[in-house]
Amino acid sequence: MNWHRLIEVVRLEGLQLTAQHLELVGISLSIAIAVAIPVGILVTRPPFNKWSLQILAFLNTAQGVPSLAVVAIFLPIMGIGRVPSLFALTIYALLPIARNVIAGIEGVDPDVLEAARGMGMSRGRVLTRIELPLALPVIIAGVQTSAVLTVGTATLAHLIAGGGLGRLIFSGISMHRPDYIIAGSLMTAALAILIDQVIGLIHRWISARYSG
Amino acid sequence: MIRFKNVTKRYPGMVRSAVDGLSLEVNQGETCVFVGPSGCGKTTTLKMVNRIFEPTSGEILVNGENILSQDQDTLRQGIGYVIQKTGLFPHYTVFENVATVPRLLGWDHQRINSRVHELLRLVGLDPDENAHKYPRELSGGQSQRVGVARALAADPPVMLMDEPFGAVDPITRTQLQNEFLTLQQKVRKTICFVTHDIDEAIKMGNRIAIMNNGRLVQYDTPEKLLLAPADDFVAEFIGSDRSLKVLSLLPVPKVLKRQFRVVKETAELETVRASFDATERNRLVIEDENSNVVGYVTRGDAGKASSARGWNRFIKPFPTTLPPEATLRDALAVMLQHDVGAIPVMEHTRKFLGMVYLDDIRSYVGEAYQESEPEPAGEGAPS
Repeated sequence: MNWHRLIEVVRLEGLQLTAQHLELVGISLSIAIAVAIPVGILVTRPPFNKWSLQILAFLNTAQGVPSLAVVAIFLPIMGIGRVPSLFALTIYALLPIARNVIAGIEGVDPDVLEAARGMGMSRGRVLTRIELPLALPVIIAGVQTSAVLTVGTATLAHLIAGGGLGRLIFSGISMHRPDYIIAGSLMTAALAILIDQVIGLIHRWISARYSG
Repeated sequence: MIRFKNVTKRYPGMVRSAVDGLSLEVNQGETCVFVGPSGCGKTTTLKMVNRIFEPTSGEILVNGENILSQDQDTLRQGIGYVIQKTGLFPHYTVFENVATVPRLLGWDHQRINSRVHELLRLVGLDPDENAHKYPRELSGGQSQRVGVARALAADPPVMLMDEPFGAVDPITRTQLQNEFLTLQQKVRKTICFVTHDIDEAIKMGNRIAIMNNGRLVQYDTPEKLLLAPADDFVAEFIGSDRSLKVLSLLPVPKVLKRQFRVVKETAELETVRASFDATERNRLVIEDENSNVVGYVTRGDAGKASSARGWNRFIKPFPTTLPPEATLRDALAVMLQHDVGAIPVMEHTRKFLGMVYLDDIRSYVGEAYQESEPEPAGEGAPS
């Protein structure tokens, strides 16, 4: 174990790969948010809301599929490179967000909803003024989970030539270079912790404003 | 004002109708309380008025207009709605909560501001202190007051109240009930009120609709309901103490004995004796020059007096008195407490109005039952 070489690895390749990694996470997470929130809302509207609990259960189960399997499934269909990596990551990032959008909206106090509807708020207004603001802390928590998960999963993108910090880890494995493995792992973990903390801060700020 | 015409509600998958052929009318400015055991259809009935539930058949008219012919949201904006757990929006301040319907109606900021302040004062909350609080910072009673203020915000002619005081402690509940009665004196809304508590129904309602298994069993004033329950179910639901409950609905003037000899304290002994000769009663009420009651003199004491003015020292003050708006229940309570069989009733100016006698209360209530109840219900008969 050579500390000098470890620092050298980080200096030469680490920053560039981190940027690449962040890009993978950023793009897939953004798409996941943009898709999961409307889909999640749709699931809580009639006629789908009848099955929202089943959908929630399905999403929870789907989360159990190993991330490696998700990457592998798309390999024969989409080939290798950046786009298939982003696609697989997005699919994987969708689940926790969609799950929390549904749970957050379903979790709004029924008395509050009845009062809102009973006073003559339209369904759209109830959604934008009541349901979404009240579900927001739960939705943000979903984004937080998803972001941390995606940072870890994105290391697998290297397997289909998607780049990112996975390259250090997998290179280290094939070259028997523990310094590569450690550098890659530490940087991935640091990135995950950093993103978790940032979103956690937003979460706390919003919870303080909105929770009842 | 609110009219149910043969309204039936059947939920999908249920064998029995939740509400079955309900017809009744709530008059303008009156409170109609729907009461009955759980599952009797009272809440469903209430929630059909603002179309939370839609009737399966029949018609509901509010102000002469069929509610189904109106836009659902517009209809609801014109009906105040108060629910048990208040349903206050936790992410809105008290001000924003109360301003909900005015904002939906597009009122300008100035008008909303003054209306919210007016309403908070009306329900007994200091606007400066409470307007910017969030619901989580309020006590149960305060939340319920905000809920009432929010329902009244756009001054709707009709209010629906679903067990509005059900979730607070008994002391707060009594307080809220009394405040609401005072408030209703001012605002005169047409109210549908749901409760499972018959005592609350008797207290709050101008009329009471007793429901069982989706059907209206009796629709009457509280007095009629207590004196003449339509059937055994109603009698049992009201409770075996209904003869006591009816006392709290009857004001003392109903049994007041007014023909009393009243003598000025400055009168001569002759006048006093003459007054006793002219009456069967054993007491004379004595008042001062300003017609304020000072007390009474008994026949025996008047007999003991010798000098023309010396009878004055036999004047005894009444141990207790009642105002004319007191109920027979108050009278009975005071009689038991002071161990007396008669209490004078007087105006706040201490002008004598008459006497209430225990025997009169007993015979009045007894007769009222006999009139309205040729066949005694077999339980809870007054001693």
